[in-house]
Amino acid sequence: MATAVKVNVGARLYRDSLTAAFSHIFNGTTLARLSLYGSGVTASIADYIQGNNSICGRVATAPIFGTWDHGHIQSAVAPNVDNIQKYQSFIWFGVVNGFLQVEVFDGRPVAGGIGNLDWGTLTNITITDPDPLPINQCVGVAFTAAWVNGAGQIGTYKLFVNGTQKAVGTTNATTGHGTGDFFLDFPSLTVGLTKDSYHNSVGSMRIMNLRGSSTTYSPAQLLFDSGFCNTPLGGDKFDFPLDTANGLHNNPNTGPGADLVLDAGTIDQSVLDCCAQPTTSDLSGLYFVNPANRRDKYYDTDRKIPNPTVRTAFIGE
Amino acid sequence: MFRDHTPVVIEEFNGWWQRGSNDSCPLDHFQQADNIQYFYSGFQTRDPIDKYQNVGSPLGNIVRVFMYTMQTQESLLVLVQGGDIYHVKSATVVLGPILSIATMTDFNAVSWAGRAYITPFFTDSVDNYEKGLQNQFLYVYKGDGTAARKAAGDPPTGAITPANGAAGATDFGLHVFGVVFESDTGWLSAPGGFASFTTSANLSVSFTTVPVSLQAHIVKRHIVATKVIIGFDGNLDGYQFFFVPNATINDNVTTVLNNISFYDIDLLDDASHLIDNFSSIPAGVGLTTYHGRLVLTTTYTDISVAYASEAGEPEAINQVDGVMVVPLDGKPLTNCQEYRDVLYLYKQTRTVGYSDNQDVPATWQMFIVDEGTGCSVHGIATVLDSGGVNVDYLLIADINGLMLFDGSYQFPPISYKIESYWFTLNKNDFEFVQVANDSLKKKLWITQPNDRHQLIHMDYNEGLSPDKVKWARWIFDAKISSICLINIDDLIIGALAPA
Repeated sequence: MATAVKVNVGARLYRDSLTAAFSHIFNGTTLARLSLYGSGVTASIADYIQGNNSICGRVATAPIFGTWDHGHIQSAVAPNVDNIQKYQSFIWFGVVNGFLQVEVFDGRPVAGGIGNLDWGTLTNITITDPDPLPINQCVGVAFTAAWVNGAGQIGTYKLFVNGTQKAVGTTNATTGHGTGDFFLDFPSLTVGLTKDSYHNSVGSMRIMNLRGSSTTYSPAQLLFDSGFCNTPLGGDKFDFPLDTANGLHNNPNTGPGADLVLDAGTIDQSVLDCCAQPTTSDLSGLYFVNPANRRDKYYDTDRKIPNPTVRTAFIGE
Repeated sequence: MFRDHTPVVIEEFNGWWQRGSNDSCPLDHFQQADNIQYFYSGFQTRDPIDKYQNVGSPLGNIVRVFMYTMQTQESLLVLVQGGDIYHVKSATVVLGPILSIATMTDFNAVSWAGRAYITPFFTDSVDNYEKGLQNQFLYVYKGDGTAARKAAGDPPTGAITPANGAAGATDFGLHVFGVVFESDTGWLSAPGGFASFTTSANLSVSFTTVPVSLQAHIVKRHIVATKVIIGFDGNLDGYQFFFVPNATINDNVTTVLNNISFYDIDLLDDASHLIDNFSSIPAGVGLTTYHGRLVLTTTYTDISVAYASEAGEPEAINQVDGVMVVPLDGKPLTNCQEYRDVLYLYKQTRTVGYSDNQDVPATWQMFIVDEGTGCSVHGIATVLDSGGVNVDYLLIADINGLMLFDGSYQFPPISYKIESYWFTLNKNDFEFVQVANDSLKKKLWITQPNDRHQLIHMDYNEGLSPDKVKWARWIFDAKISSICLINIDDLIIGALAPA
């Protein structure tokens, strides 16, 4: 099999009870268009999705889930806090050395109610699935956030992979609103380990909405493409105008239109599902002879030793 | 059963036989012996393979595996498709890539004092020869996860400024002074930064503007000097230089060194051999050690040339004195190996030898060992985890067969029993042939070029002779690309994805 990986990805986002939700369909071609460190860079898919010739190659054969243009967001010009709508929370996720890693931003205002978000730090939470992701399989990932609005309220989040809860934690609304580390995530977002540095092959998804942050940002181009999951699994495709001048955003409750400040409510059960197309089985890798086994153990599966056979000279097969 | 049939009792199973027609197969041999291994007089299903790496993102598409001996442990250098070499320190620790060259399709390496010297090469599609990569170099890797760097380096530039120092002692007269860089791997640059100065008998000599290097791996600088020159002709680098005792700056920052006293009679350590050294050593194919020298063969432009470094200085390869030229027959050197005090150089169908005469390598006399038998680029069996020879023979995979070499090739080949099979191997693809010899368990494995899902397995517990060894084929679902032994006798198998 060639080193190029096949990364056709579908993602499904179920809307929560309160806030905006989008469904994102993208595939490897879309990922390839990502410009993670600057604008206007077009690279081949291999540059961004590391194949088997890289340290994260095996990972990239399947579980790339989605994408968000970190490059533009974490650009030198930070998003204006006024352009980040209150009550929005985000998760970004990707694969680090084979392990699913989710970074969560608790977007609740400090005191609840109305107020712009502060450009703070130290609020993003990184969760890592303790088990490596299966190779060449579809995986369903769900992240739930039961975050009651209000000062000092404890919110609970949970990470599920293939229906199994893998992580649970809490966050405090009082300190849960800074956006600095989350968006300026050169040092903090470690998803997408590459052979050169971090921040590549990043899968990410917003679970709520974001008003524009960069004039070069064009999510419709970046985040949507046809491919394996060219039929939306639910909801609309991502089509967010990010017209900051007009203050527009896409809120499924209201549709694209005037900004809507949500000043109360409970963010609850924002669920994200993702899947990846199984790829051809890849048996490559480093192995050693282990007499303790009974079958050949490959990285994706165990296999029977192929047909141990002897044929003598005189009695035939 | 058949009436009057006389049972045939087979006391021993002597393995796979594929020589001549099926009728020629002896009764105690097999026409087919797949995925079995031998024990005493019996056989059983071969041992299974298991995942070597226990990390979330194991390396895939392995092209070449090399056992790298560090000072503290054994580990693996692993080339994957795409030209990245990783350092696999253990099942759970991977470093790198420590070297990335997109055009590298293979590499060779030697372990030296805890470091690894790595030469990238490729198969030239024009002539199907393995050659060092064009415009590429020998690299040195220190084993710490930092990227491998080019071996050797650039000499000093600029000019040192000598002047009289405090009261001291030098021989009166004109000397030429210069500077030699020393790297973190002990490499010494060619002298540079020359300046002439007439020393005074009762004064020491001090230096300013001592050149510093922009190369991060330079950690020391040495002052070198000529003896007193009478009739100086102005040619600063045309004289014999010596290291000045106690004139070393142990950093790459300081530009001043004061009050150095020395007499010409103290100038014993000759630095002249450094002048003609490569600043960048071209990449080659063969790489080995011989009498404390690093030997490199088959650069892109000189396919019949081997270079030998200064003894004990693997990065100091003299472009004049370090050259050995094997007769030009249009075929490249493929391998090199020290054995019983002789350096053997191999081509596809030729073997020559060189003996160290205690002079520079360019003066070593070549002698022909065999003009019909040679070796492929990975065809010399590595023994246990030594990467070389620790048993009194070499096993060499040649297009004639698996040959036992003890100074001359022994015929018939060890692979006598499977000669017909061996001759089916594509002689143009012998770069895929690699041999690993477990001399403890007396087992040997060979990767083969035709069906790369197969390993050829040989058991020589009954003796290492063509009639005693037992053969089998090991077949895998994975596509085997490379093998080596680590931790004495653990067989490591590198696999590509199936085509």
